Amino acid sequence: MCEIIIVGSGIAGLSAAIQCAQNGRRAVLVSDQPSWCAQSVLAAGGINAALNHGHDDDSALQHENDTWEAGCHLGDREAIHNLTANAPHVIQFLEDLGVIFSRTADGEIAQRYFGGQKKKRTCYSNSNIGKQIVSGLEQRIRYYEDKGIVKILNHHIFINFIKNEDEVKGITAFDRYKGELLVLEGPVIAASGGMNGLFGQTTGSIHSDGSVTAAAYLAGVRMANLEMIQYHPTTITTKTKNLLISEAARGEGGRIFTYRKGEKWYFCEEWFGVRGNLMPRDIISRAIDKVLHGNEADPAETVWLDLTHLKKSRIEHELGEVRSVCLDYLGLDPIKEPIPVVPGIHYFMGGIWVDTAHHTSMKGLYAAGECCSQYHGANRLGGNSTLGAVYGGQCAAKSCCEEYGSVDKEFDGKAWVKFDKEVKNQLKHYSINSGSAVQVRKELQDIMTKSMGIIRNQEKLTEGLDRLSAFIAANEEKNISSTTLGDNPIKLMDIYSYQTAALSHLGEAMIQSALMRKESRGAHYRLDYPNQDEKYCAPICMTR
Amino acid sequence: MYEIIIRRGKPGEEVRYQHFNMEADLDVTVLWVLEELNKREKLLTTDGKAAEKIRWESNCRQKMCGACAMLINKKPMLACKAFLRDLNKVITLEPLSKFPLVEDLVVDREILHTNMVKMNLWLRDEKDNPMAAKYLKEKVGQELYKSASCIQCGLCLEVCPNYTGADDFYGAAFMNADYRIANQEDSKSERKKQIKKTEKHFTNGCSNSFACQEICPSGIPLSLHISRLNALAWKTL
Repeated sequence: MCEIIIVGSGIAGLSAAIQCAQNGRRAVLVSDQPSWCAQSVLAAGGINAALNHGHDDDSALQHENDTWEAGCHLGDREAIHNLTANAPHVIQFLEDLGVIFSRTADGEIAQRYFGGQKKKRTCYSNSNIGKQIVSGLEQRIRYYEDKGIVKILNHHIFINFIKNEDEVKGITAFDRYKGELLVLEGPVIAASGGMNGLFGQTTGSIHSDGSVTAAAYLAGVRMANLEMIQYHPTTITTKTKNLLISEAARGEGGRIFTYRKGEKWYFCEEWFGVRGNLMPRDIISRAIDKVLHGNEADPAETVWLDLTHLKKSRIEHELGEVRSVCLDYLGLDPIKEPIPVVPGIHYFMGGIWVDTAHHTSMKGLYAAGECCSQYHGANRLGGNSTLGAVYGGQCAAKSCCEEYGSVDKEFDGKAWVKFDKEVKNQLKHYSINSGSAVQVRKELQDIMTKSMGIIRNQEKLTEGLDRLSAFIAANEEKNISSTTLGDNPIKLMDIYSYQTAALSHLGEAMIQSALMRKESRGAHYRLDYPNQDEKYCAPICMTR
Repeated sequence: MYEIIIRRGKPGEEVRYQHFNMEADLDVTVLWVLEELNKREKLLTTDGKAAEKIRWESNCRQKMCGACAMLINKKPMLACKAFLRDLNKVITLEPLSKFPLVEDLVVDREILHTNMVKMNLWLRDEKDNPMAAKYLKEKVGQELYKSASCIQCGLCLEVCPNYTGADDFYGAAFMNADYRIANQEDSKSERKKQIKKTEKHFTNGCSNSFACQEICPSGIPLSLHISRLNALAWKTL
């Protein structure tokens, strides 16, 4: 028996664990990768809070309004209010842990402009806030680990939830170093990140694949806003992934352009005015897509992000990570040349539905961070994901601590009973023939990428849904003859293929959500319904 | 055509190397090569024998998480940062040698974390240790920023001539975190206690080869951090 199980050890998971410990409660952090490898370490730009260090008359209310407006009124207003009102406390919390922020000459935490916000509200740490926040949280976690309050189970893959009627009672996990199954009993906080596994080529990490969200969906937990996928306007493409060029590059003065009739055309500035490069991400992404694909007669070949006019020292210090990524993966120095960019999948505003206290629709399960849907509505502001992860982790942990009593037992390996047979049955139920698991996952990603692009329409979505139904049917058929499990020990590929099957059902729900929203709002743009329609001013929820 | 030679197996098994052929462009990384090999419907060695899927660790695929650290032609590197343009046509991949082997190219680097827990590398509760912004102002802040950028890949320990993993010397990754905490610590007596640990677990064992600094994929100025710690030790006397 565990007190509180936290799945995922990025910013949301670590924040939840610290909150549990501060409430005097023991928590176990279960994660495939250690926190220093979590996707959170990639977060580049910053973390928002109305500290008013830019001396531009900022306030929590303005932060709230900007978040609400960027989300096109699809976020939870009360939750947004709580988030933005508490943002300065979150920064104080991080500062107390020893997180290193960039500072002004006066020693105050420096703040910069970020997309969709009219005030200098984004606290930053050069161009890698995520790594700095994770390092600070880890320091505190070591303390609680030493005291036996937090237990860390790295290299443990989440398999499934254990349910008793309509309550989550724990999880099953697989130690991929020892090849052993574990059962952990207790209430669960999901802090497992986005759904990159459905798409493959994203800016995120491999292990933030959405398999926990998919398992929650199969268990009957409510999903919300699944169709809301943020395409970051400025990514660079390599053969293994899309790499993010942080919004900080535009916050520091970077300009987007293409060539038209041989001359530089700053189309964002022409279309949206003087702050056109810093419009919300959905707007810039669509603008770039329009320039690249909209005019079939004369499409632009490439869109560029230009930093060459900025001071060399500014690029070296404030945008050091951006420069390093370009040098390593493109062989290009942004001090001397503009960066070729394309929009790429970056963040999932949708996921597990939660209320203001981070309850999911199922008792015993809470969610925080990118895996849940609440604050960001139809479009997330840069700098709000790190904030939502810290604050959400804290809220989920507080709720869980209040609602589940203390368990008077130390962490004890013996208490975690093995139950191979039951897990094998679960795996078998959805499993795909392991021999072709990698190709099968690729096929799923191809279907999802083609259906859920920046510009959507009925035809593409329906085609995707048909392909996906055929995909599910074909793989369930294969499963009937699958003999990979039987009496053999469970292998990593068995779990991988099981997760692919679970993800395919989640993908189906995602495309259905996109079909149901017959309007354009935020990140969801439909060519056949190009206008916002107030009839749809509420999250689309999906429950299996 | 590249020949990829990979050390396979688990601890206790006989050491074996499998050979694979692959066509690849110069601008791809070793990580891409591994992913492509595992995507093959049937993974066959150059002599036509069926091989199990290869195991390695990776996550961010952009040199920011350290998961894919391994030996590439005997040199410790991140697979996501090792481009074929910089390598020969024969590429040998092996797991890091100073950490317990799990399987194939996967090793257990938990010791990086457990040593930091053992050495109490954290800031004391804010009530006892009012964090002063003075420590974090621009110049020191940039150095601490670099320190907190450590991705815990373990390459510094792999190349260290003194680190064995079996004695009291904890190596550069520990020293780097130690440096940051010591600099943020307010209390002189607490700092003194910490410096004693630094001496035992780093200073006494380091022979100043600075191989750690040369190999660090995050570009952390480890020699600078060592000198800062030394200076702090004098001030704390």
